[in-house]
Amino acid sequence: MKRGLEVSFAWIFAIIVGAFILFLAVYGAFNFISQGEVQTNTETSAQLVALLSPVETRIESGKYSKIDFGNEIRVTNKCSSLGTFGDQTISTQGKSGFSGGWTESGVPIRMINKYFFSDSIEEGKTLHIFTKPFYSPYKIGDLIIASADNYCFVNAPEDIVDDLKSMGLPHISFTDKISKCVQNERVVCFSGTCEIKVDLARGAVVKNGKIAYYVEDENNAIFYAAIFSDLVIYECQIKRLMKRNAELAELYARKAEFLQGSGCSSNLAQELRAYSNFAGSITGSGALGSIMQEAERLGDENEVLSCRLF
Amino acid sequence: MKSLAVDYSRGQLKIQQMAFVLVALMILFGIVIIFYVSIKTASLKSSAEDIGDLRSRELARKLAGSPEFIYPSGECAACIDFDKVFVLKEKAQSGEYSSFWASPLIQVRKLGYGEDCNRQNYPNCGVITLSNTSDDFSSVSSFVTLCHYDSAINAERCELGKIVLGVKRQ
Repeated sequence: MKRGLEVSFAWIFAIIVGAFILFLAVYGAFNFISQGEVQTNTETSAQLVALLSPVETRIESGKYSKIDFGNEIRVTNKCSSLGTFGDQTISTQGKSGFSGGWTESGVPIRMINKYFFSDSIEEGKTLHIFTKPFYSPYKIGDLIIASADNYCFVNAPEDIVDDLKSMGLPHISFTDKISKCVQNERVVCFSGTCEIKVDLARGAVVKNGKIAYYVEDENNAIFYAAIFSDLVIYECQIKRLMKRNAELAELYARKAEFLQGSGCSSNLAQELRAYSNFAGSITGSGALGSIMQEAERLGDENEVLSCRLF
Repeated sequence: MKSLAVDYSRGQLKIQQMAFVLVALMILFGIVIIFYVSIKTASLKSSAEDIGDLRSRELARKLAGSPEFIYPSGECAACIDFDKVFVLKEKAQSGEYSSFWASPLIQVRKLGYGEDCNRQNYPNCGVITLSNTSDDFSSVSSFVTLCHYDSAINAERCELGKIVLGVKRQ
């Protein structure tokens, strides 16, 4: 009688238990690595947010910083205008060493007092960040404008070219023809049609069929924010900025009333409260023009005060 | 019959040996993993503390330049508007600003004065507390210039002060 393959019980036991242990080890290792990736991504997000504080301005009219991540990083920017000031979250993802795909996102870091303008997703090894303070008529905040892409400005007005060149931005080139832009550069044109079209006459930026309005402020902060930002994020950030504007106007109104008791009369409290209500109720960038007109008028009134409020 | 009994006990012994080896291996792996996780957690905790500390120091330096603190532009770019901060204190108590700077303690202190500021003693007072939400923190501070309108001289009076920030303990 021919004998079949004989496998002892010890072997069967070792194979089953060994397979189980191997499965546990592999499963545990993958879980451990992915948890490590989430922690690393969370740390990267926290470090990115920490690095955003030094880029804020004090007396400067603009500032440029470059953040090198070393590896390919995806930064996801989300904005909400709900609440007194609204908020935004930043989360990052690195690339997996095994699959080459994006790892699981880290815990999003929440920011209430920062205004980070970018595409909803930025991908790259380097993030170019420049900051512009926004005044209306007092300082409302620093607009942090970030991009991982390179840009090509076609037929940009001279003052814009001078301003951007003075900040030494390496990711922006200037030319007079779209055809001169290098491949992979995102084109910003001031006449004709391209990916990001600036309509100077209407004070608008058209991107992906969507339109957003900007105002010409002292530092062109809002203008740059509209160009470099995803327009949904831009509209949300404008609402957040106006909410802070409303809170600041209320603060200055209270300061005006407080100083009135110290012999420094301004009679601006009521106007500031009306301005606060107006700024707090805007629903989009279309109202920015009216806000700026009112801000200019308040600024002029403040200039002639013996003890200025702002 | 006899030999069968011997084979049976030898097989049992092998299984037991194998089981002990596998259990020992599992325990060894377990100890190595626990050791690695504890080191990793400790380094994560310290890096999280470093990041928190870095953020707070930056915040202390930058807070003086934020719109809620900054002195009327053009006159003293590096000064804090003490009048505005005093008014902000009253506004902050209503809650809108409670989570704005995400710090358990924000205090502006005028050097040489110790009393908390209120409507009765202002501006001859030394402490304005904007936020004090927890006792579990360490603090960082930065020297600043505090300016306010002085009706006696009908001009601004500036004095040396400090801005104090609480850093949450991890």
